[in-house]
Amino acid sequence: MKAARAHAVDSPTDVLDEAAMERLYARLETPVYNVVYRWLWDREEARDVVQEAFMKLWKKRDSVRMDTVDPLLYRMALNLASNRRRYRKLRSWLPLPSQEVPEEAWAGRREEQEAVRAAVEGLPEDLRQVVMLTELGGLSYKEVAEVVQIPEGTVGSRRNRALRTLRETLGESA
Amino acid sequence: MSAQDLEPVFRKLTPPAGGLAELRGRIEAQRRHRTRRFGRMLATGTALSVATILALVVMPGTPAAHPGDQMLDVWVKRTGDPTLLHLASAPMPEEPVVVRPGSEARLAVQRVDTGTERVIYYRFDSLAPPAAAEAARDGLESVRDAPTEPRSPQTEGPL
Repeated sequence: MKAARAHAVDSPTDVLDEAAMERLYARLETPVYNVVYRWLWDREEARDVVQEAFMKLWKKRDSVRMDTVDPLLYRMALNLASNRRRYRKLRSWLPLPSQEVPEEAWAGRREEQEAVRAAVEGLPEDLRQVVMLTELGGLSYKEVAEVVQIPEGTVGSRRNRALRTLRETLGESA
Repeated sequence: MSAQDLEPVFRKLTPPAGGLAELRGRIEAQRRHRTRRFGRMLATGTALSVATILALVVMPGTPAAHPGDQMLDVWVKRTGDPTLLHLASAPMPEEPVVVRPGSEARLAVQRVDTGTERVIYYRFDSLAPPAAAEAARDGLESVRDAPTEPRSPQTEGPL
């Protein structure tokens, strides 16, 4: 379940220089993208958010500690994704042309994708954050606690509740 | 609790290609932007410095106030003496006032205490009409009481 952690390989100098940034990107692009995708359900927007999160990190590189860089990056990415969702909601109230793009990312049936999306969207945000960060981000409970700013002990219970809810929802829809 | 049975939910998706190249491009663009901004700030700073120096060199300077003026003002205000006020505001003579031997009959000199040892004012009053001096000599009128016009303060030391 947990992705292999490689801080030591990432940061031999403990400084976020360009080379370290590229190593970090190579390691975290896919998991961060997957988490963000479950927030936005849009390939291009998710890609943009990943890029923006890395750029935000790059701008703060002088104050970044390499031992906590993963939670920091996820927090930035989740904040950016949440902002986009809010903006999208605002757009939906305005008479602007829709920017929905056809979804091609899902390697599965259209119905399956819709069911998964409905189940994930049906989760309360606090549960969704935790389960995505643990299952897709591969973060430890300690790191998730750091990202979401909750006690470490709460992470496990929220993860279990989220998984149970997903099972129930998807079981009903199957 | 395992999430293996929820594989469709947590299926790993591959991000669109070219992400790393785009990130490199963004970093490079940001670097260029910072360099340009630094260049603009440097140019603005240099221009402001040159303008300031030019303004100081080319523009005529305002005449500096006489160092004693401020002290005199304070002192005049403190004493409230209208004669002193008049003296203080009188223009400086173009030529220094010289007291020659034997000119006592035409001048009345009064030492004015300023309250500080380093500054002493002398008030010079000339006797307006020469006839007044004659009259004084005849005992008709005191020299000191003659109508006078204040001339100017003098600060060049005791007579």
